Amino acid sequence: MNIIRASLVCLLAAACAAAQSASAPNALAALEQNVQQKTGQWNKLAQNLELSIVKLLPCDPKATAAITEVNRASQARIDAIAAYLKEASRQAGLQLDAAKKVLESAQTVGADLAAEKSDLVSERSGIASQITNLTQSSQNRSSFTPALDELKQISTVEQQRSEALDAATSHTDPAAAALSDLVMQLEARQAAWKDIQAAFNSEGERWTAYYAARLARAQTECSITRGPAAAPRPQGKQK
Amino acid sequence: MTRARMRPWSACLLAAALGLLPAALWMKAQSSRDAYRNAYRAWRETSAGLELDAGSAGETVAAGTAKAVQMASAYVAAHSSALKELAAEQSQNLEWLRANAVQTPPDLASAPEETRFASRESNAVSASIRTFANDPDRSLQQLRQALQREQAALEALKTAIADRQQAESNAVKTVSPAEQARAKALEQYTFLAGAISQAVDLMNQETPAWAAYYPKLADAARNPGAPPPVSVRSVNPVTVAANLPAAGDPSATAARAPITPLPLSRYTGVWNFQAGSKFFGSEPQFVDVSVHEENGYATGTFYARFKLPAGSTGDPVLRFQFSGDFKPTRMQTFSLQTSDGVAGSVQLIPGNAFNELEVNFSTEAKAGKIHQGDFVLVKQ
Repeated sequence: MNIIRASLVCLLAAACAAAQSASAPNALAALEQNVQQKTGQWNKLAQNLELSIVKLLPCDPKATAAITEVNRASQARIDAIAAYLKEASRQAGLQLDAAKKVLESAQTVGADLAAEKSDLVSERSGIASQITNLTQSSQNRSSFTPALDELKQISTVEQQRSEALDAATSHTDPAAAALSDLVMQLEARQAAWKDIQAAFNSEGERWTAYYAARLARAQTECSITRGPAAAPRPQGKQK
Repeated sequence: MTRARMRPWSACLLAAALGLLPAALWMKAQSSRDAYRNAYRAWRETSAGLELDAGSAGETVAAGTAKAVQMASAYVAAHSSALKELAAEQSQNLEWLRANAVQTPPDLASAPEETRFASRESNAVSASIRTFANDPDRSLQQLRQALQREQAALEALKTAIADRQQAESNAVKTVSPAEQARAKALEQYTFLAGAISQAVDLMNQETPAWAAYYPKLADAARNPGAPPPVSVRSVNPVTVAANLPAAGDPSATAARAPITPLPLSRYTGVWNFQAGSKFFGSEPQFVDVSVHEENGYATGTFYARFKLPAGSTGDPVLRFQFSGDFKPTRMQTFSLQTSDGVAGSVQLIPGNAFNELEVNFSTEAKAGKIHQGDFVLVKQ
């Protein structure tokens, strides 16, 4: 009963993992689309920032508003990329975990096949005994020929099964070695995703620092001409 | 409150289940193995001595065979079930390997474009700094300092973009070796899973074989002195047809005219594709075909892997089962169904040499799947 319960829980967990895995590409595609949208918005504002500011007087509130708006768009883009990287890294982790499970299975299938082969040796020995006993008992009477033929045919099928098991066994070690390599590569890939995440977090901070410095310059330009810069004019509800 | 309490509990349960998964699967496999081993032992104990006594014990042996058929059937079913579990697990692994290609990370933030942007801004800021470089005005000095801080921020940004670009480049470098390892594992697993599935198919053939054997043993035990009977499952039906039983032979009812114009052995048995053999269409890497006959009815399995053109993403493996009545024609046509449930037909055409068989199949076309083939196989 406990085994059945444990198996059910495991199957449930496996089903959840499979469902997560199936929805993963869609989640990433949506996040990538969001990144493209946010990047487009930021690009448009960032490329035109200096051109739009240069025509304004130093203390024109539109200048600080324009810089603040570009900074906000930049932050939205950074957040979108960070969300994508987080999800991609999570999925890389799931893929690595799943690969480890497949490797575990590949490492144990050899023992299962060995058990199969061992059982088959007994079975084939049993049939060989049946053939010997029947041959001896029948004393070459032809009435026993059909039964003997049938036994020999079963013996042939078991020989083929033995060959199939040998063929499977011959691929277990190469399969496990390739999977072990795959796990190693996926570990390197997951580490690379984490490095990208860290590098991008750092880059995000630099973008924020740059726009803060750009805003500070605008405020300095205003203050040296006629006092402190005006606060940016409210632009309605913004996301 | 309840929800807050449930969350960690659920997480623990999930983690525990995931941790227990290999152990639970092992216990399940062991339990299945124990079940068929017990069934095997019971069958062998029940049927021990049947063959030795067959020549002398007559009806007693005949009675024992009925029980033996049941127990053999129970054993084969239990063993087949355990083997199927193993095959299913490996098929799942194979499917996972097929579905989980390692993707190249997308270019989310173009580092060259961002670097160009930062350089352009930096150049503009530098030009402004130079303009006020020697100006003693205190206000303009303040502005110069603000510009210098902005330039420092831009330089730090350029460094950060370069670092991120390097990290992305490192990630891209992991894709190719990971994909190579996956392709290698996929190739090995295709053979591994295929061979285990073949073992399952062969195991399944044993139920009807034992069901055919024991009645024959019973018949022989009842009539040990009877003249040679004619077997409809003989290795060579032509020979069988040539040795018709004498009149009055009780086994005469089992005799029949040859089904096919050529011996059934020209169709039945295990056939393989040999390198260099003739083929039309996709070139096979290997082909295993197994054909069996029971009372004029054919059943068979087909398992092959084809060489696909470079860059093709199609499935190189094809597996199907076929069945149908043997007809009094040289060429035998049977209906087939692939492991994906696709229908089609297969023709078996004996070659000029006794150990050659041409196999010609076609199925409904399905994207990424081999749907026709024609090649000459050699008997094993």
